[in-house]
Amino acid sequence: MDNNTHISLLKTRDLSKEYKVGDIITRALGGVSIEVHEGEFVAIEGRSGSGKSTLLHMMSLLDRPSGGDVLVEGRETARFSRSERMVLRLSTFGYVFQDYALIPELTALENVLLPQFMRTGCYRTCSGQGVELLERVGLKDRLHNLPSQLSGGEQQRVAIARALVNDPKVLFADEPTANLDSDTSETIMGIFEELHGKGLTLIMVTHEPEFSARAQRTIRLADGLIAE
Amino acid sequence: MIFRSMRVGLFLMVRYLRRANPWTSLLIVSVMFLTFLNVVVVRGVLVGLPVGASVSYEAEYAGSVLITPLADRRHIERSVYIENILPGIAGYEAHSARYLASGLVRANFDRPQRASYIPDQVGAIVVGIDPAIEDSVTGLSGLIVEGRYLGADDTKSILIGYQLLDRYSGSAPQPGSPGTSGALRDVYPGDTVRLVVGGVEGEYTVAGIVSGKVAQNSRRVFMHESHLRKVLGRGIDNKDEIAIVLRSGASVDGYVSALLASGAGAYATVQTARDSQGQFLDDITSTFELLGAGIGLIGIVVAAITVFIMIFIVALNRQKQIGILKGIGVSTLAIELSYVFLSIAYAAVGISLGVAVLYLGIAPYIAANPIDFPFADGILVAPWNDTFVRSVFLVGTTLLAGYLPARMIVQKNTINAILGR
Repeated sequence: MDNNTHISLLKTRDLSKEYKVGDIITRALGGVSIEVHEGEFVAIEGRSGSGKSTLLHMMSLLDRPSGGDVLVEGRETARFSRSERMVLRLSTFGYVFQDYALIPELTALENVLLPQFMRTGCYRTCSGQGVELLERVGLKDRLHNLPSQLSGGEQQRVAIARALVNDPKVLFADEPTANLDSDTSETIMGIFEELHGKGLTLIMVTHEPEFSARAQRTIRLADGLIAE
Repeated sequence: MIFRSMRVGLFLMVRYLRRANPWTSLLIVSVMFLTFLNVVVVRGVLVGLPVGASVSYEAEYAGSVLITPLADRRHIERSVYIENILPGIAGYEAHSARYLASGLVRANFDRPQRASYIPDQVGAIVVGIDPAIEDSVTGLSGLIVEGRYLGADDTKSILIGYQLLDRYSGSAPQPGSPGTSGALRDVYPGDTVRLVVGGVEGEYTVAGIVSGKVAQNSRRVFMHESHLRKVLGRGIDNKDEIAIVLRSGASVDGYVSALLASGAGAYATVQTARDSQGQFLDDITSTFELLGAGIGLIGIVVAAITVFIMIFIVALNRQKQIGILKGIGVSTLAIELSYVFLSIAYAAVGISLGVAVLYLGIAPYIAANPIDFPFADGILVAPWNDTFVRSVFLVGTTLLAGYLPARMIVQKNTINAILGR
């Protein structure tokens, strides 16, 4: 572990999440406190319904917790406004969804460039970085293809390129290999390891032990609580 | 940030539009197109009715300026003096002076009748005209639907307004009804009728039947002015109507002012053709304006609801994408604007099509082929400025109808939108 991994980048403090349907309250997270340091590769593992994706949604500010707080670089985010959370998601975080989550009307390159366009207002003249990222994930020849013209693995690589375009400090990945075959999954994991090797902080949710084993640290969840 | 959101919104809108389902786009554009026509054309036709009636009134009867007797006088006083003034005022082109008298037209008087027979007769205004001059002012010869126009020496012939004939008006005298309240039966050009005017009864040949949209023509009897004067025992002065046609572009109000300044107002009522039609026309126009606005408003509300539903469905189907956009940091404003721009684009295309069809198709067609209403040639009143205002209103409504559903969807919790919860 490098020296910089000792700097706390992300911290959850007694994070909880409850869902209420009618009179029934379901607890998805029951007070989780973890800390992720800069440059770390952390895997969150658990069975289906263990709360691992919910934890990732809270940490990446996609959802608000019922209790507790998420601290990003020491800043408490509980009282952040919608636009402050949006700015953090745009400039500090990158997110790779389980089902790729590309915008179907945009080409691969347009999907990648969209967050950068939103952050800088620069599109045409800044397309170089998007092209470069797509080249890095092996999609040099697929720049102008729509998501529907790409395979699952290709779409996931576009999603990774999109998550990286604003040079995030943390990359969140929610079961990024769940819908992929083993060869493609290996390619994706290879990309993650390469990114981690370059110092990027990675937090990945997975239910596959062989992939979580490749992370520096694994957090296991069961019934919304840290198992060990 | 706002400017950047606008650019991103525009970027997304262009992609949505470019890769949208063409049938959905076609449907929304069609709704906008038809709404535009509803808002502009329906109102234009409604307002065009009284305006068309007014145009017919001027063209077929009154000219641009109409001179009639003062309210407390039987005839125009010193009408020859006034006629001499007319050509000297700027804008004058021609005028026709008329004599009027009450008359009674009798037809079928030579046929044997039963005791219960109601005389086949109608009351009518008998108008004495110089046929050539009247034709140059009102184009009366062009309104002849049967027979022929009066010749220069046709002193024993008359023209009968078509509303005085039962085959046009459909109201012949009925037993028990007043004998002069209906219309004449079986009267055709070449027939002889008796005309009682000024207490003098004479027989005249029907030269032609006068049609047209103006009641003043369709319920009148026309004869040579020299003969009418002779029958009535009137001199050349004391005419009853003077219709003046002005040159194209001449100021009607200016002409009337100049005429009044010359002292004509002391001997006659001098009015623009529009003023001579009275408040009635303004009331009708206002009523039709109101009707048009009401129908247009309903059209706009229907369009707004349609666009709202369309955009709502589009946004609802893209709920997941909206969540993803929010998830990757695209501002809610940019997402909302993309749908607002989408609505505006649909409205702009629909309105542009509507404008093209209106000004290149419908308007020229109706101008060349006015809608044949009984009291007017229906024209289309759709001035550019009015169309522009209505278009802006339509775009504004569409903008709102596009914004509201987008806002509703965008406000959903991000992760719920992504997961479709």
